[in-house]
Amino acid sequence: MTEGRLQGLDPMEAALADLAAAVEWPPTPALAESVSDAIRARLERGSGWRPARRGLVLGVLAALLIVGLAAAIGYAVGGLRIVHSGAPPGSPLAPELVAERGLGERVTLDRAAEELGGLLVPAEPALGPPDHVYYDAGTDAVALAWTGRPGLPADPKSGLGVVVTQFRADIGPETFEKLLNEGVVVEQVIVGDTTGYWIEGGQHFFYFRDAEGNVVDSTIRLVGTTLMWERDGFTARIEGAPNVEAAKKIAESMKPR
Amino acid sequence: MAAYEELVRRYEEPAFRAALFVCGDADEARDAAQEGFVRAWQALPRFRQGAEPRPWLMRIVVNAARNRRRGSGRRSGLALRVAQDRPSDAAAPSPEVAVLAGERRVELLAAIGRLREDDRLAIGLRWFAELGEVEMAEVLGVPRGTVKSRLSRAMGRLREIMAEGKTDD
Repeated sequence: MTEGRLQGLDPMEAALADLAAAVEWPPTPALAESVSDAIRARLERGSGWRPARRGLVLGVLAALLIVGLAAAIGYAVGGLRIVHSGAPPGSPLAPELVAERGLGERVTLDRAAEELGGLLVPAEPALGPPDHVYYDAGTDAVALAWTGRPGLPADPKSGLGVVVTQFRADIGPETFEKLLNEGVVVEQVIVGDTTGYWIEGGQHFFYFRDAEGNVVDSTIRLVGTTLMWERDGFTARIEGAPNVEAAKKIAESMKPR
Repeated sequence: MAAYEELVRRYEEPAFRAALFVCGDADEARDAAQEGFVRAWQALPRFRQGAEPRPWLMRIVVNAARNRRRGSGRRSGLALRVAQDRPSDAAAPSPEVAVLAGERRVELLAAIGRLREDDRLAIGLRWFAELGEVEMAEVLGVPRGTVKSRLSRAMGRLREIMAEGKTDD
């Protein structure tokens, strides 16, 4: 950045521009050959291209595509699609992995609101403030988690009673998807002044597509019930509420932070 | 594969440097960039025709770097150095002024190294990769408004760290 371009910058911006011009970068590694080798090796391995569990999800997706994915999609909330499938749930994971792999890093409520550019927090007295707040930078999603308590039994896999997840609904219509097992019922419900969906009656699992379109499963969020809806530009979901009334009560109590 | 190798050569530098701002360590950044380019090859069928490949590739590499960093659980400082012989943009500085400018750069680089991952990446993409907000939004996978707020937050934290450094003196 030349001296002329520094004009109009505040002192810190000018200092950064000056530093950027003065910095010594490590040599850029020549990657073309090693990338080619890695691709060839993976192609030769065939089924080893993806981890097994993720492969399962993709296998399910492939089957859906064959029979007509569009026909399988019956419901949609901003950024979410709900797809019926016969896929089995994922294997159980230790509670420690829930935070690491499923929900992101532990943060404060203020930090979560800052990251998301706003946040809806339940004001339901029976819940109180969340026990844990997580932010996942990869999906730009925030999860508020409450451990099990009377009336809110803990999920045996995660130890969590209720999880409220939310993300900006404008991140792409197909970023988040949800696979449902057979026997799961999806019911359209009214949440405040908007429409949502209540999923009940079986196990379902949740996954999202990462930046390059890969399906990343987060089965550890598996719980028995889910309410999903959209409000104020957020797509939100509540997992683990014992019934639709309880879920709606939590949802309708949510206030911007 | 030859065409893809050419694509890798063309974009390996910005991709590696972006990964460096996430990983901090050059070896980790190299591995993340390689992994990102492999994943990008896999995702090529989903690349939107006519789109700009640089932010698309950088986004994949940055995500690979984030996953690596989280997987390792380690947080490295930023493996960058300030060139000692590089004069300031100010015209004909005295030796004393030049020394002070050099020290100031070292302090600022150290402060950037102390930022948390998202802030460091925002600073790196904006001021070191010289990306505009639109391209940053593509790399980070967030709306443009979020880029503005993240940059503002990162700059604020950088000022705080620099101010703390002065207080410590």
